[in-house]
Amino acid sequence: MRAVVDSKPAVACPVPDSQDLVSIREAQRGSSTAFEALVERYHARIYNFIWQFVRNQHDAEDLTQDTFVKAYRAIARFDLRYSFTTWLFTIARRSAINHYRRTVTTEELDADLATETDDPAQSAGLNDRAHTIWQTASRLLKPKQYEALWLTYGEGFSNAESARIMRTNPIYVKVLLHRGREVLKRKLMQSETL
Amino acid sequence: MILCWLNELFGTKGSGPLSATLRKHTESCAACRHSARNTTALENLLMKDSQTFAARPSPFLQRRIIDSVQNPGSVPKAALTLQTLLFRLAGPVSACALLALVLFGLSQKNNVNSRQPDPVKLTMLPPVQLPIIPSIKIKVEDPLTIEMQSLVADSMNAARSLAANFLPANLEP
Repeated sequence: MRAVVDSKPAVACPVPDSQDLVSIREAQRGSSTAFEALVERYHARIYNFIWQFVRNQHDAEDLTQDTFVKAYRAIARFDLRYSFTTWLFTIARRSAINHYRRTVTTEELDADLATETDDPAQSAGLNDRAHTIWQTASRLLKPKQYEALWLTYGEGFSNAESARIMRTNPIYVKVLLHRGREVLKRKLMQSETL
Repeated sequence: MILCWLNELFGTKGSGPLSATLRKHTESCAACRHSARNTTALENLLMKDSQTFAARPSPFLQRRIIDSVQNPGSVPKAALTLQTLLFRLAGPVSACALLALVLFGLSQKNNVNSRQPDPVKLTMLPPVQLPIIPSIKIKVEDPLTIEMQSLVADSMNAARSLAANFLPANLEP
């Protein structure tokens, strides 16, 4: 399967650090050992990001693997002036979305059932705050709002980088963040957590 | 809560350094101060909880990825492989199905056109018992028939006389 990945981001992002740069250059020359270093460094983050979409360990692992295989095949076209992380997350996001499109018809019912189940942690309000802030976010927010929040606060990307990953513009990311925060603030103020 | 027209601005700004004007405004505006504080608290909460909410991959994932990178064919993924296979086969399979339908249609048409009774099968068939239909017999003595015969004879005679009078001698029948 041919990886369809753009090598030139529309928005300039921070360049890869020196450690990444060496590995990327060697991987571009065909060194799989150099690529292993990148896998070691990023696989947990990519897995975590994909897990936010699929919420399933097996699918998240499959898609993480798929992301790195695609990245390895397309790394020769990667432009070193741009951020490797952003590029990798863009591939991961696309893999997750493609997976979602494939499985949405079969898993709609399961998802509906899952939302109807009575989760004791959720029904207990916001006592266990360590988990419930993101659980609340995933329950209340629209997928794009959640994604923008996760990229910003979970992964630490700037608005420009998040926009690049989400294939949109930074202003829209800002709007998504604002709306997401407002929903969460209202919810948390209701439960007097803030 | 006191409403302030700048309140929305603090919501959109998120965490980050406030400009001198906004900082000065927050000193005097309780609503905006409250909004800015809430936003900062929420952002801190989100950042802190993202660490505990993070999913951990299995320890074998890294090895699995490296294996699949080194030998892309060695770690098949059922869903993706099947999808790719279906995608690649969809065109040829449709073309074959269409061709088969056309050929089947043509063969059926030929069968209908050139259908001949099979002598072997015919011999095996039981004899057909036809229903007995009473035949209609025309009697010569029938007055209508006699009249028709005379009319026909008259017509023939008239034709002959016309031919004798008007046609040239070499064309005379």
